[in-house]
Amino acid sequence: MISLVGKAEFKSRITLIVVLFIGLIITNGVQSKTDDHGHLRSANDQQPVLAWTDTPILIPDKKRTRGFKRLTLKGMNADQATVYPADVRESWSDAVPDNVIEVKNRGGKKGGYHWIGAVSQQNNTVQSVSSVIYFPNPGPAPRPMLSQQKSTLDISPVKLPREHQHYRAGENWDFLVRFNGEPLIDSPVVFETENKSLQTLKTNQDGIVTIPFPDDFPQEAAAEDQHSHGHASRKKAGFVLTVEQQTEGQQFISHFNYHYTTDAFYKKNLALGIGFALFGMITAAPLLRKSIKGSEA
Amino acid sequence: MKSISMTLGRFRLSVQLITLVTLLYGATWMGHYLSDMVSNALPALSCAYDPVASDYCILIPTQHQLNHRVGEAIVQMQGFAFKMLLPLFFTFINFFILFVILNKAFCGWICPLGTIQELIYRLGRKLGRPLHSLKPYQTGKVRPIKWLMLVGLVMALPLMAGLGVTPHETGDAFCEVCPSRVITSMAAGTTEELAVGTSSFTDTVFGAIRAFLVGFIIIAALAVRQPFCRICPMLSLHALFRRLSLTRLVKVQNDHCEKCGICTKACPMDIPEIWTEHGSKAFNEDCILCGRCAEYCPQDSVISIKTGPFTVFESSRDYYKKRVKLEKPNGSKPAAKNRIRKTTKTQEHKA
Repeated sequence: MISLVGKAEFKSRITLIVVLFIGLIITNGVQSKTDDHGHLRSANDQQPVLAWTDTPILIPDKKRTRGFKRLTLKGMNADQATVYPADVRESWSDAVPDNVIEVKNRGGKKGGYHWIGAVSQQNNTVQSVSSVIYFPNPGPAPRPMLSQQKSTLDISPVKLPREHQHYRAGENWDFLVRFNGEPLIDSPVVFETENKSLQTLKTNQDGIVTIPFPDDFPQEAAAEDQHSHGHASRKKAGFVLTVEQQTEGQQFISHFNYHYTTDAFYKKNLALGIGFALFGMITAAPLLRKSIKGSEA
Repeated sequence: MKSISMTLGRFRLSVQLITLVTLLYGATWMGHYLSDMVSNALPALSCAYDPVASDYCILIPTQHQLNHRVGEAIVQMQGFAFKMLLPLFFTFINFFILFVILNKAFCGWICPLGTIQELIYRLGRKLGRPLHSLKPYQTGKVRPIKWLMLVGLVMALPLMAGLGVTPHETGDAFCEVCPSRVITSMAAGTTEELAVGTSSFTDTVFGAIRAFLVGFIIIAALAVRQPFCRICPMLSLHALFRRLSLTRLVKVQNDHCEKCGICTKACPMDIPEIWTEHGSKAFNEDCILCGRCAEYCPQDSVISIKTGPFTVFESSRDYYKKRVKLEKPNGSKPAAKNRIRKTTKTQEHKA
């Protein structure tokens, strides 16, 4: 090809292609920046936090913040919230004015995940709500945080997704239910998602319930305004787990909520990937011929 | 029983295989959260998209910080505050702690993609495929690409994404095209990174380039040594600071060098300067400190690898004689004993 069109012309064509490609990307970016960059909204751009369920949950702000995270407590009132960093020995409590919890990143080597829990007691009902948030901190794994008994009736994930990863549709994840520190066997757990899925599952002999995250994300047209978190190819939705236990005239209700995302191949085409990989292989195949000038045996 | 002698090459291969398995599967037996705890520390192409990796490379936080912190800070017009640059600074500090000691040896000894390419190349020798070494003028043409990758994909595009000029997908532009993302995650049993995104034009273009590169590299590595390493931004990032590290390649002038050139033949990066130059010029920006040039130099103490005042390894005639019996400079196995003896004598004579 080079010999046909001439070296200089070939170079200029390549330059033109590169310039056009960069131009396309920039044009695409300018078009998408207003709707694709949710985190570029100004700090004053406060929007009312809407609950997607009647079940008590902690809803994190959609707006990206530095050094702190804000969560709104919905469906329940509480005076204070307890924060457990990965190193649970350094837990602390924060006031909850207007049902808003502002968790500051206290830095240091406290680990990434922080557990937020709030408890309310009315008459004979003790209700707790909990969730987790992530700060990009160095520090220990969140195992002590998860294994710590944080309320009388406690439901917590056995494992949390690693940084850059999520609970995803089509995956199964285990959650442990404990009452007074002991695994709660054969207890019903209600699993509800923002996409209107509702399931009741039971804990096993170890107090573990396996949650099959459903692929229940709405079709594209309906999903346009769903949380895209800046990543056009990944949607996310909330879920909440609820477990109840009655003992000695008291009712305990515990909720854990977090989010899950679309499945691994959402808006991805494996066949296309294999096709391009094969194209790459075919392009490189002439290198395997022994007759190429300059090659060594 | 045939005795197995430990050469620098065999030691390096052992280190490469151990780190390959540890980096790709380490979280399986060392803990689910391992990469969260040691993340950002290792300047090697070990990918965050690998579900059981034990660590991931510095290029991910570098791009994210340029995108989310620096770019957004400028957009919000709240000043180009020091606190916005601080996380980026700490990322590089992590990088430097290891880099100051080991220099570019990460590329030649630890990088999973480097090891995989080297293993494919060895397979190519077994299959009798030809070796295509790059000529000096070809090397000169390829070298700028790694700088373009660093400046364009690791720095400029993530920064522009933060400014809102380019799409969000360009916020980690290098990761979007990085073949290590596909190869290491496939080694961990998932094909999702090979799949091409179809959510936007940019997503599709990046996915197509990534898949193409994977296919190209797998085949090219059978006949060309370290094809991706030559354009890898990690190499240019290392090259930027290579003079600051304690570990370095040292070559002293020797009259025998002019007619020899075995060092360049042994070099997996086809660096002509290790043959034609001496002093600081011999320690080229493409060097991955694998030590093969020192192993295959038939002259005593001409090429050496040093850490501070200590010599880690230096060339010697006796070592060279043993080494060529095990493997030719180009990586293939010697055909027959008699032929090796003859070759060795000829090369010694030339040297």
